[in-house]
Amino acid sequence: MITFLTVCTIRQLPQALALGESLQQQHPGESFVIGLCDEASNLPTGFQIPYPVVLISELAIPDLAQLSQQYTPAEMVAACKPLFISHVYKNQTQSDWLVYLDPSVVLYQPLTDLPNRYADATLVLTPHLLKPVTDNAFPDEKYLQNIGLYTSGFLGLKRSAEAARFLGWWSQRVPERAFARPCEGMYTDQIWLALTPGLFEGVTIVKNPGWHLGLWNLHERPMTENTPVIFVNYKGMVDQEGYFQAQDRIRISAFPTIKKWLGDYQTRLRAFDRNGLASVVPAYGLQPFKPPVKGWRKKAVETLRETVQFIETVDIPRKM
Amino acid sequence: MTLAFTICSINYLAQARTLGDSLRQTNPDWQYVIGLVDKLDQAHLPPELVPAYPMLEIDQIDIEDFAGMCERYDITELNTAVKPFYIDYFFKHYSDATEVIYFDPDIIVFQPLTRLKQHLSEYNLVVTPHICQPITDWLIPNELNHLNTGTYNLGFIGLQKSEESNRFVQWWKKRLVNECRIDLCNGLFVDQHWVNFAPIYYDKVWIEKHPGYNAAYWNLHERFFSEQAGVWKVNETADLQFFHYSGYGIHKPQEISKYQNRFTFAQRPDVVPLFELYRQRLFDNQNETYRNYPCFYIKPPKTLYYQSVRKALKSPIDRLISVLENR
Repeated sequence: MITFLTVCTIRQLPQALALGESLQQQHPGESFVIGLCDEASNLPTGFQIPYPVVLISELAIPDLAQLSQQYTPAEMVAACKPLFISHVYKNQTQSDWLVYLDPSVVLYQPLTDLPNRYADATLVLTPHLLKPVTDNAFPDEKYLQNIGLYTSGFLGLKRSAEAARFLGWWSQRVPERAFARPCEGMYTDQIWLALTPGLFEGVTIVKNPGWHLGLWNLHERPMTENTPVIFVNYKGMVDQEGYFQAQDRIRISAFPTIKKWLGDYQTRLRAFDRNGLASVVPAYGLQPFKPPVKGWRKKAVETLRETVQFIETVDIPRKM
Repeated sequence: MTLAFTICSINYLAQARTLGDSLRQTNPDWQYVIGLVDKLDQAHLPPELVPAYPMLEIDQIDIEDFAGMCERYDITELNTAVKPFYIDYFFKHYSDATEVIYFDPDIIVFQPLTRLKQHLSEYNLVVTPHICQPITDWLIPNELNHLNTGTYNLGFIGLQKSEESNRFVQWWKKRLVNECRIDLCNGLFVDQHWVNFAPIYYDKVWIEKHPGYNAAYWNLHERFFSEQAGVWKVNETADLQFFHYSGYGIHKPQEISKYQNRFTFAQRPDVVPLFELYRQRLFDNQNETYRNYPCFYIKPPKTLYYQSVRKALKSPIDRLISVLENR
């Protein structure tokens, strides 16, 4: 048995509901839980979440106000995510697998590899990229080193002592250190996953190119009959979430299947956006969100920075 | 044939010889080569300082843009950037080398590395993570430092001669021509951080967690050492395979490593004899003489004149950047 879990704010609930719908289609009979990283009293009047919900208050976070003060909304969700996952892991003891998915994920095929191919795994990870990049577009590999090579938009946890040990370790570190501060080795809940192959037994890297397509890897995912798409993460395509809005490698229009699915997805999101869910401001994470610089601005900033670096380091011999 | 090699400049030849001596003792059938980032015909080493091991100078291995790399990199960056170029050269020019193993010069091998050899018959690459158990404090180095500089320590890597390994080496080479810098804010830490990609991009990469491998200051929290009947053991049970004396200098014998502040020798009496052994071997291998040789490829430090002019030119550009970034 698999338990699926997502963690989101109220404004992301339409996405979570669309995810729930795709899970009902691909994994009928499995349970789906939503961790609400927001203030339940801000839910629109009369709106009922049609899935079991874990509230942030159930996590009993001692310094919640302090965390909320220091983080942006996205960092705040990242800070709480390991705690939601640990909470559900402890309470859903009847399932062999706990699968975390970003609210922006849609499944197009069931995850049949999990109980079969990955039966011996403890922690299943999906890398952002499976192949070296061969162009100079953004994001490059250096950027991924800063934000994490394995995406935390998916995590597969097989019920095991190692998975429990991983959750203990991750939950202990992330809540206080979920800043997006690459110079200090921090990047939300995600960068930590880079250490797991050394620290835990049974960490398994999914190399199936049908798993976890997103803005960052469409260029290397064949989407053929032999490698069908299992799931897509629409993060950054339908919202301002994630770390790849400034990507300049691909245009969605070059991927007709994804383009069509994205249109269908947006239709579902509109259908699920009842009572103005999408306009509820997150209650936690009080630091302002600064959207990434993109397009011509990004290019101009890069060129100017190179100029500054040249001025700083160019060797001008002193006149004798 | 198994080929083991290290990379250093003349000032580190005492270390390279100590490593070579330990390999000759423990793995006598391996070939050992010192990759030398220096120029022998400029150094005029007297005969007693010429090591008994073959040396391969960096200008002999046909690195396409070596001059550019010398220009871009400082000595640490340069010494690490050439690693995959040597590996590539060995696989191409030593046709009977079925495995190539890199060790940092400041390593002593304590055992026949039969387990490593076995793994290299089944896997393309063998790498060692810095830590196999969590670190529970925030002294240096801590988990954040490892996240910034790389999961695996590149003082060691083993490669089987295979197409997949070659793909890895070619990719690594390409990256290190221009981006073997230390620039943590931009995801760069010499050759090492890049190797985080190895188990993702390439198949059959063995992540070696045996506690006897690449023991060093960064994993002392999970490894304790003892000598039993002349054999060094880690955590009582495993044989110590090789110890990496990274950041240790015989002129600061009271420090385990200049890169760490977690342990003193007083707190870790178990490692004291391991370091005494190393210190003696470095002395015996003429460390005091070698260390005075300047590296041919070291650039004199640049003095940047006209700071006020530079500042005046920069400040309007910095303001413009700020406007663009903040709308």
